[in-house]
Amino acid sequence: MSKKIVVFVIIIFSFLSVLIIALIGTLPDNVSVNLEEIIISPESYDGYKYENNEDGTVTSIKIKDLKDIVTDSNLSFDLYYELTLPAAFEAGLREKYLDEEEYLKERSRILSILREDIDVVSDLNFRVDYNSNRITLIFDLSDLKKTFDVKIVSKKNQGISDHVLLYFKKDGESGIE
Amino acid sequence: MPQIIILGVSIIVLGILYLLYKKKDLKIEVVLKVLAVLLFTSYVIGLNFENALDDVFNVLLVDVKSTEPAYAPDTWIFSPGMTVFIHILRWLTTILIAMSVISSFIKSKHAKFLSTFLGPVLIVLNLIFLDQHLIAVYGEVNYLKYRSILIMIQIMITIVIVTINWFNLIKDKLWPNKKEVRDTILLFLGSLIFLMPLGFIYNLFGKYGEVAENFNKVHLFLISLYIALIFVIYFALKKRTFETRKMFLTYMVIAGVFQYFYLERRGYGGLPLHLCNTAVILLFIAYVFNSRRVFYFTYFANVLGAFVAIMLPNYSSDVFSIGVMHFSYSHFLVFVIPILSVALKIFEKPKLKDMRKAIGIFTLYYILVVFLNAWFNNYESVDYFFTYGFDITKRFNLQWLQTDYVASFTYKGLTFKFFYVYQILLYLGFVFLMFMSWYVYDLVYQAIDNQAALIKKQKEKRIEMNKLKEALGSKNLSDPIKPEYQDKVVIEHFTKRYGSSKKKAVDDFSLTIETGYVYGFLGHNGAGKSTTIKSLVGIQSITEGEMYVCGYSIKSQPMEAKLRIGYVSDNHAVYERLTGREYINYVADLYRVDPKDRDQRLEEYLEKFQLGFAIDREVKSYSHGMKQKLVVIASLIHNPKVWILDEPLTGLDPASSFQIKQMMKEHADNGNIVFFSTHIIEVVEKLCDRICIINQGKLIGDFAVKDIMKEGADLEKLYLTNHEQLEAAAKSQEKLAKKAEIKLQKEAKKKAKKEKKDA
Amino acid sequence: MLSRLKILTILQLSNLTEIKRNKRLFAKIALRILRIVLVTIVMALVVYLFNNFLYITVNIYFVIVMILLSQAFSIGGITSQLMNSLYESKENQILMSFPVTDNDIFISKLIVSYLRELLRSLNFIIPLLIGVGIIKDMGFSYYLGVIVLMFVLPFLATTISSLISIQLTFFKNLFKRYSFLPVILGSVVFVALYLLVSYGLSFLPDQIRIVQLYHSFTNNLYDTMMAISNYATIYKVAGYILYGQNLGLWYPVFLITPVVLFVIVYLLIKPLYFKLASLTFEEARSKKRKAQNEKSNNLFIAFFKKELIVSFRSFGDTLSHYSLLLMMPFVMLIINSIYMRMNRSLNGNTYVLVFNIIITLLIATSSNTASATAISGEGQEFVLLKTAPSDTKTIAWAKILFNILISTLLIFISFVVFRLALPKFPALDLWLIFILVIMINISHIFWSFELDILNPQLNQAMTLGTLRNSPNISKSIGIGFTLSFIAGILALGGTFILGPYVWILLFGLAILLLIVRFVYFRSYLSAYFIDIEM
Repeated sequence: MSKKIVVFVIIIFSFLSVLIIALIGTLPDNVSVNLEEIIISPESYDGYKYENNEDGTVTSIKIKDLKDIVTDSNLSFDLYYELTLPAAFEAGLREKYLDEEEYLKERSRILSILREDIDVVSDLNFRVDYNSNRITLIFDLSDLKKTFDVKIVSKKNQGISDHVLLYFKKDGESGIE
Repeated sequence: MPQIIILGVSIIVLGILYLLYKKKDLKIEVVLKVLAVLLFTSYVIGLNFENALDDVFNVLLVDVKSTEPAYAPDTWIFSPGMTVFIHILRWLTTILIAMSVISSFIKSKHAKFLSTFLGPVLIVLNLIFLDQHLIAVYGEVNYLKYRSILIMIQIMITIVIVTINWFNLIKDKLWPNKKEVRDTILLFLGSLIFLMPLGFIYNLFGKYGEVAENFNKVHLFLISLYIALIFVIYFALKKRTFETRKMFLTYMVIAGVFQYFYLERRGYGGLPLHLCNTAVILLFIAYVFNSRRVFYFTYFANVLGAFVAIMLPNYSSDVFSIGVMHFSYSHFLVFVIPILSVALKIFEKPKLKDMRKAIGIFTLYYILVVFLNAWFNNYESVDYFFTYGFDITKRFNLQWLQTDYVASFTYKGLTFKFFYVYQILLYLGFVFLMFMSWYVYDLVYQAIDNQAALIKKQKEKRIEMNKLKEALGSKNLSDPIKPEYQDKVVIEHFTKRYGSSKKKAVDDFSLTIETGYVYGFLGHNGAGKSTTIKSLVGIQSITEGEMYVCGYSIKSQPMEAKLRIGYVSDNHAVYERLTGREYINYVADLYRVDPKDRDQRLEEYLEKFQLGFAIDREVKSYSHGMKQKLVVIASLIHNPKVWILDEPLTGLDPASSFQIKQMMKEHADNGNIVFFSTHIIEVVEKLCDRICIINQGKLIGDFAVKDIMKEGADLEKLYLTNHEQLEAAAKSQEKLAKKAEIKLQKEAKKKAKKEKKDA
Repeated sequence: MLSRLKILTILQLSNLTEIKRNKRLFAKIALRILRIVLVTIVMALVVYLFNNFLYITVNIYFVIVMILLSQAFSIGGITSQLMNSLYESKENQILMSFPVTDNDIFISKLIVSYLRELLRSLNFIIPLLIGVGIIKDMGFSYYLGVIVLMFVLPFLATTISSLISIQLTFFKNLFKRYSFLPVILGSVVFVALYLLVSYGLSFLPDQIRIVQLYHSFTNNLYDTMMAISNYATIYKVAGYILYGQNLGLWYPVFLITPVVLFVIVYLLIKPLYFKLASLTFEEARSKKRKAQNEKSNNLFIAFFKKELIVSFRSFGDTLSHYSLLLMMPFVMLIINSIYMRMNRSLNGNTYVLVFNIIITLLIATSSNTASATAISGEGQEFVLLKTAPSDTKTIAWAKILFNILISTLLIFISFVVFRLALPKFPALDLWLIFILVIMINISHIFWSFELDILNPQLNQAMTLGTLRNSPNISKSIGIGFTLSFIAGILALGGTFILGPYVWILLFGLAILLLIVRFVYFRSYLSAYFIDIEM
């Protein structure tokens, strides 16, 4: 055992400590919760399409006109979404963490785990930025007049999902109805 | 009826054995061993079944903190009194069986006495209460059932063993004395706790109402109890003979086996493959076959595993329940036995190679259990050594480590799953902990050894102090022990050996040095001059003999003696970063010199040695001669009665040499003693009043220089002649000594050969 | 001249190696080759890992930066070695008395240094370059370049080091004359470095996410490697040679440059060498100090005063004992800056506490080597303690107090500096850690001293003049390791079980340890000190 070895051990151990805290020390105190909802953010859609179901109910589907957004010179579109936790869980969290800062930190830790639960179903190429809750959809030139359905779904529970129809409004048309 | 059969068969067997003993010279020790093996086997194969007695609950109707009803007489199979009695009978019988087995293999008087004297009483009771014994097992009396027969066989074998023991006792008249009786009783009382029936507390007191976990009060109590027991057992056995220590630890090992197999264990989960369960069997093997390899595996791996289990138990039952008792006994014994085995020197302290072997065995074990877990989980849920279940990962919120990294394959319809990352990490973690535990053990042993050595040393010092007080009688400690030596330095039969070497550096050296003389100490290199001087000034110890400085013994009154000595070493010892003045003041502080005296003397010596210009510079910048002068000044700063110099003139220029010689003469003329060693004869001729010559550690002669000169002898020739003569004498002596040694070795070999032949 | 050079070089080499023993020479060479092959395989695996798993691009910039880094380390090592060998080595006294010129001695020392560096390059950079070649499937010209580099790089390092060594030796001699200079310079460098590190850490993102941070790290690393490579001068040329770019131009440049450097070194050193080298053997006239006889009131003060004076006058030696403590504020600042920028849970805060305890204790306890060699360090001067008619074991208390004061002060300064640099770290936790570290450190000081009392290495100090190989040092460090990890485990387990009351457990155990170690130390000192023999 010499001082050189000690220095080496201290450096390695410091490095390991950073890794351990980053991987384990940032895990939420409570991991037994699932997502409540996945909601496509308001800025990522600009209307609804209504469909009548067989049972008489009406389903509304979010839609977004990409005519002036995705063009020959800009072939990508950022779709934003939000994740929510069950209300009862949120309430419990509020009770446990009275300090606003601590509450937000724990919420952020929980969401950082649940973020990875997202799956995207679409015919388009895409990249997911889990930290910013953003999906970057990449179009080809040939896609510019087509309609695409983008669905964001929870891997654990397929029932938790949201989707948006992306289309290109033709001149003279009022859009998808 | 069955009692008669038991007695009858026992008598027949004893009769046969007696006849064989008389006619065929049957070896009793062998018979006892065979019987012991049979007894042990018959007992163990009767375990691992349910007992009707285990379901009995709370017979003493103690009001405990329980959620259950206060008592449950429906579960009772005897009256409360009989329940207690049967428990105690079974308890003591199991101890008797263990002691009978042990006494047949280990030469332990106490085990023998226990078996011999306890045996008859328990045999009679077992015969009388045989039916109750069977009810405790089966809930009914049925002599033809498997365990009933085993119990009867055990009683028979015990009768035979006890009778043989009595026979030996009477034949050899090995009656115990009072001390042995006392020790046997104490050992018996100590042995009770290890074979307490697992259901004893539950049967008598019901539940406690708490689970011992997560370091709650009950859990902490159990942990403290374990630790306390370790120390109690250690201190109780520390001073006993090796046989007694071995006997008791073997008893604990057997107790471990008996307690472990008491509970019925079926299916794959019942296999003793969990680390601590395996340990129970491995310890038994280690002790029975004296296997170091197996023992050190338990020492390194199982102790650690048991420790973790004790700290983080994975049960959820009440602390008095049989399951928890079973858990506690198994893990406690596995934890404690290896530690005590080394502490009580049954097995040696492990070396690093033992740990490496232990890791090897652990690796094999680990691979086996990983594979068996993967296989057996196709049939039932098993988790040997926590390599399959989620116990550990759940505790640390790391389940993903197992679930996210799984490798599996299917073979003949069976799925084999391996949580490879988790299993590798667990293995590496455990091996790392084994290394750490080895290191901690090492530290602890060192600490224990050091503590033992310290106590011994402190005792020696107390004895020395008492001897000094005795020698001084009514005088103070600061009075000279030999007042008649007040103005002398007296060396009496001084002998010095270094360390454990047999060679004497100085041998039976005696000398008296009077006041007013410059005494030269002459000898060639390695003659023993420096050794003598170093012992005289207190740098080295004295092996034999004594040295007195002005009546004070350097051994027992070192402070007083050293106060009167000024010493100049052969290798000037000065702090190079201090200035000369700072160094002198430092030495003066050590010798408690008055400020006035030190100022005056320093100035005087600085003038004499012409060192004033450099006295306030760092010693680093001094030449060799200047450093020597500085050391001389420092040695005289307290005006010592005895001035001792070890080769003081080496490497000095003539002027410096002259100055020091002048000082020496002056100091002697002032009524002091000057004693210096040298190998330069010219200096001795001119400076010394008396000389003594040392050669090969022996005093050659003590001469007055004037007398030698008067006779017209040449000092150089005298020294060389003596030197040559003595070298020759020494060489021939060496030859003779070697011859004598060879002769002795040959004789010893012959003797050994003859003894072997005789044997 | 060549024959003189040959003899001088062989003489110095035989002093360092065992080339005389021909019997085992071939076996040693074979083993060495095997070792190089093994290292090359490992390096190839590392390169593969970097390229395919860690997203670190292995290309010409990577190679240039690796060569540059290895050269930087080599130059550092060779400079230090040359400073000793050229100007301070005791063998110079013998060499200079031979019938050779100063130039011969100088060049022979450079040759020896070059040969050593050549062998050393086979341990890292050459295997690494070969590894890169294997993984990147490079052609023949690449490997030819590696062979050329194998001979030229050590030459470059040696010549550059010899140039630097002149300057450094000059400064060293200046510092010897004016002892306050290294203290001032050292303090300035320390403060500047600390401010630089703080500044650098301010660039860390507020919320550290390891994966994202890693991606941006690898991107920035690539840019950095590219930038460094552009300014790598001769090493850039080495990269061009390896990657077969414009060989007609760069080969001559690469081969001529070291020659030119050598000529510069030779011309520069020629008039200076003897003067610089012989300066070491001249007795230094140290300045005069206070001319007053001062009596100490008691023995303890006498010993303590001596310790103080000797320590401050041999500042370099004292500093080397506590050098690791100087690392403490840096390590604490860096790791905690990173920790504070992560979104930690309650468990995460526990881990932060635990790792701070372990790391600060590791550093603190490893600095107690002064205590582990306290008695042995007296060396020949121990004679005074053996022959003095006083309770000389008091020196142990003086030394202990001195060590405790110095290390506590340095640890305190580290914590204060850290507190000022990172106010985000909870103050209460910080000072609780401080108290715990101090208590355990003091216990460790007692323990280390005890090791030296039980196993003094006076002979080693007297004969070798150094205690670098003292077994007590490694034992002391080992005990420090154990204490650090045990403290960490107790803190971890204790927090999960006892929550905030864990500090009661930790302080309780620390106080117990302190008392036990104090009592043991006192007992061992009384029993064994008087019997230490020389």
